[in-house]
Amino acid sequence: MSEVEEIIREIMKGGDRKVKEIIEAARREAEEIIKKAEKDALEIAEKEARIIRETIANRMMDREKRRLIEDKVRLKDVKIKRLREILYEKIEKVIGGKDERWSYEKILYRLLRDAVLEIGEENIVVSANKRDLEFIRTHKSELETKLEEDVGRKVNLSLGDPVDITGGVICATPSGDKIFNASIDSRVDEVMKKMSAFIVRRLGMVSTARFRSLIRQMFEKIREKIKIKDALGRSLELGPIDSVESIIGGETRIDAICKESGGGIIMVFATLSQATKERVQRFRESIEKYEASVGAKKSKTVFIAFSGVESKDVMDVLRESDMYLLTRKELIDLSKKVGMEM
Amino acid sequence: MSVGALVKVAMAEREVREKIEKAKVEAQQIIEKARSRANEILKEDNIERLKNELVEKYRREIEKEFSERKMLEDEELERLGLITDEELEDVAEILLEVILSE
Repeated sequence: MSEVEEIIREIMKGGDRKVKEIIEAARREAEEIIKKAEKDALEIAEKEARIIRETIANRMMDREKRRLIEDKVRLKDVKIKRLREILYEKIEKVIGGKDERWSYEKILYRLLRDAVLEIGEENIVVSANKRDLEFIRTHKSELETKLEEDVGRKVNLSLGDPVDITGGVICATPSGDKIFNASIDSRVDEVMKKMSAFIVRRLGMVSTARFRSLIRQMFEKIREKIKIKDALGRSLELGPIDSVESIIGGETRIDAICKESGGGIIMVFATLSQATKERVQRFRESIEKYEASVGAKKSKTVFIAFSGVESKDVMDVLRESDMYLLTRKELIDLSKKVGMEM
Repeated sequence: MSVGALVKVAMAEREVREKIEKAKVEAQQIIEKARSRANEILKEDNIERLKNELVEKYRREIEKEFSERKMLEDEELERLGLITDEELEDVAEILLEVILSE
């Protein structure tokens, strides 16, 4: 190649390089322009979409909350009403002398004494239902003597009007300035109010979150080895437990992961409802995922189903899966053993 | 260098200048095209389309989140429906004891 040809070749090469640079720079700039536009467009769209998202979420939340609250309140009311009915049936048996464990006469006297003590006056007007008024009328002097001994002062009882109460008495001073309601009905209301937390817990009328929290607290309280029978009649040894955690979210649900002092890991699933094949399967899959991600092996699995099992088949599935089953009964036993009211 | 050689070099240089000028025009076109595309991207109907896609995505996420929550809440409702008279009897017995005891 001659010198001139070499020069021309270099000029052409330099020109090609420059052309390439110009085009590449333009392409880069074009890419930037498009990227920026896409980013800006997405930002504007996201801003608007987020507002709509909030509206959708709020609307769904309101709808769900309303549905849940309405259904829960309705069902709770039905069950509490039924509980009162059963309770009153039992009280009627006591009053009618059909429950040998209780003497209604003694109960009536005690309620009368409490009212007399509370009012603290000599003259007391006693109101009760017809049956109890009749009893008080026929045993008046006997009651007055016993009251005198018990309260340490003279007591004059006079009979008031019959009132529509199940049992017990409503006492007042003759002027009516002091009244004390010692009726059975008032006791029922008072006790049901005072024990409402116990009632909802014992009947599993708590929220799922509260239930899980109670389960975790219960396992945390296992400070020494405890032996119980599960609902399938198998012996289950638990504890002592060092720590309890839970994994809930996405597809994984393990309500309590209890680490025992001896190094064992107890996996717990807890539902207020029943053990179903689907729930057992979900629990099994959650354990597999947990074991794969953490590299730890469970030593025991406990399936807590407050409402029992859906069918006998589920019991077989639990046995095959080597899962212990605890229902309401076993939970109450366990809670007593760890000193916690369930 | 001979005159012939100088002419050849000058022609080559002219050719290169022309190529560069052409490239500059092409580059301008590329940028213009991109600007035009950017305008398209930022147009209201495109943003509306993007927004709808996002809303749909968010809706699916919310529905998934709610279905998980609903599953847990359904357990609460199921429980309430599963409370038996036998369980109520047990609680009533405890309440009776408290109500009638001193």
